[in-house]
Amino acid sequence: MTDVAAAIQDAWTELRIHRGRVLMSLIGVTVAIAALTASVAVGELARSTLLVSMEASGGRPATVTMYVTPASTDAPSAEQHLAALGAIDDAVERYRVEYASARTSASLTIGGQGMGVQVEGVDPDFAVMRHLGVADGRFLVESDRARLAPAVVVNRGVLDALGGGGMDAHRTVELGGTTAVVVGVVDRGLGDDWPQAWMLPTDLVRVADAAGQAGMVSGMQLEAWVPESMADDGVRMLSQDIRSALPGSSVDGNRQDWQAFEGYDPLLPLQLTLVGTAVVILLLGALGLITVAVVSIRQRVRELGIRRAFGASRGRIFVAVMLESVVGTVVAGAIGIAVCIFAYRLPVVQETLTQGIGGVVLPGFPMGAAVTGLLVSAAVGAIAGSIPATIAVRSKVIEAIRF
Amino acid sequence: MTLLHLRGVTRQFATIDGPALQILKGVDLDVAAGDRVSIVGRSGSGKSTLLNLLGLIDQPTTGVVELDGEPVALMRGRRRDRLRGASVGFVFQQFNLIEGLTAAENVAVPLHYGAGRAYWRRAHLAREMLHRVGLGHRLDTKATHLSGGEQQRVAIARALVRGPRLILADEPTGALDIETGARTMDLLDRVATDAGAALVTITHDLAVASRARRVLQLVDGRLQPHERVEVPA
Repeated sequence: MTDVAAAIQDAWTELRIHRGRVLMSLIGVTVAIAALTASVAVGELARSTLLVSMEASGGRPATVTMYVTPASTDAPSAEQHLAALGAIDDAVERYRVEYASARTSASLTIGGQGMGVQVEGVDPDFAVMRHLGVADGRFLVESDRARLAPAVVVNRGVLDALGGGGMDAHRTVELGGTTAVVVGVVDRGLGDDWPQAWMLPTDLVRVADAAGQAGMVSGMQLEAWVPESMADDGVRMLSQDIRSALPGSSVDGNRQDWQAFEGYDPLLPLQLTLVGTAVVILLLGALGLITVAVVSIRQRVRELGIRRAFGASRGRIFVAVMLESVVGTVVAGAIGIAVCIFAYRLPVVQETLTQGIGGVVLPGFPMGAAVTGLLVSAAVGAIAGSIPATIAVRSKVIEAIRF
Repeated sequence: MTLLHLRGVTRQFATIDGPALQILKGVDLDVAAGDRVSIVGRSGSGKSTLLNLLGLIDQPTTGVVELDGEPVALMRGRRRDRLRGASVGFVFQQFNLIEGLTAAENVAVPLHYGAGRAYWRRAHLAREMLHRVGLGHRLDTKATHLSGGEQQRVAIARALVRGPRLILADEPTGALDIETGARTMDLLDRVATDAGAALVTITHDLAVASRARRVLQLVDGRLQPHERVEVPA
């Protein structure tokens, strides 16, 4: 206990005595750790952004999709669509799938503007399954099924066509001749100008039917987010149930999320690049530190000789010199990480990082990056400290004192 | 009672391109508890080599070094280091205080390597020791801001703070003027006597050497009584 406390005290005293040199040598480490942490943080951010982006387009692992094709070769009627939706709902309810959404779409016109808008018919779970964040208002909910006027969520492109503004006023929109209530606005950032809207699938079928465009509604799909171990069985059982509920219909199912493609890891190149960058930064930081430490230890042999003369064992000298290095680099690393976190929270940095990433909310600073930075700084300190520590214990006491 | 016992001690060093260098060729020495011994010798006569051996820093090539009857050669490195810290106090010519530390912090340095109780009380013990050497008013002064005489008094306080039984003084007045040197030796004598410690002084200065009960001269790698110095009774 005393030995440990005394060793730490020795290291702290050494840091205090040589604070000028330590400060100079650790500036490099601070910068290196800040760069390393930033690169890991940006990497993790890019990774999570890429994941969100892939899950937004293909669904979360594991997302199974069933395609329902009616028996008739003619354009399906509204009744056929509604029957398919009923079969889908029954199947989802039977297997108690936690997250599922029917999915269909149709192109409708926004009344008055004469502008076409792609409307997707989806269930409330769709927002969770596809990372569809609502910037203003809310997404579709179950109680919207009871509305007399259908609820619709629009994107910024539609809202701009409606004259801009927010959700503070009760807003409605004419869709294919039916008045729908705008309940929420999706804002996916840059490149989201193309008008798009979401409403419940039954509402979409009815709105399209009222506009005489039931035949233009796309074939029904069911998307279900299930545990990965259930993906294959899920496809088989859901397809079977829907097929038996819709005699003559064809139901095909498969898994669509990015993990369904075996052997393909889209994150691998990014991770390899980050690891490479981190290693180079680490080597440069450690090299600078070792150089300064080795040069300075030669100037400190007298002091270490004095400590040896008064009873310090070689082990104590080794530990003190190494701890001094570790304490210094950990402090420097912590400063570097703090700088990174501060920079990460600056509005200008957040805007830069999220620019062009649709529907993605910037997560908090990745703690993995901070932990990596701290561990690496301790490791750099230990490695950089062990070399001068070895030189220190090899010095002969009296020669050191008379140096 | 014999504190330190050397018999037939030799020390030689290998050279890169020649025969081994024989520095000590058979040193015999006994230092009793509370003894006063001065060792004089020309430059290069092996005084520093002998100091290393007396201070348990180095090992002889042949011969026996015993502390309290225990052969030093049989001790493991860590035990030898601990024994050195507990039993031997060094006073150097160039004071060798650690720059950047205050007088009290310098005196506390040996206590970092001592027993638990001494370590936790190091600040108190160091201040008490500085009061004893007359530097109670300079406790928190940086070592570099002290005069030469004050620095040597701090060094003496540091050598004595763990209550060693043997004090090795290597040219303790070499960096001081005559008057300050004399006062420093008075102090060293007094505190060593108070502590009951043996004092071995290695010096060029015969006036300093003559303060000891025994004055020995290192000649040709061996110790012999010095004839020119009048040894006090």
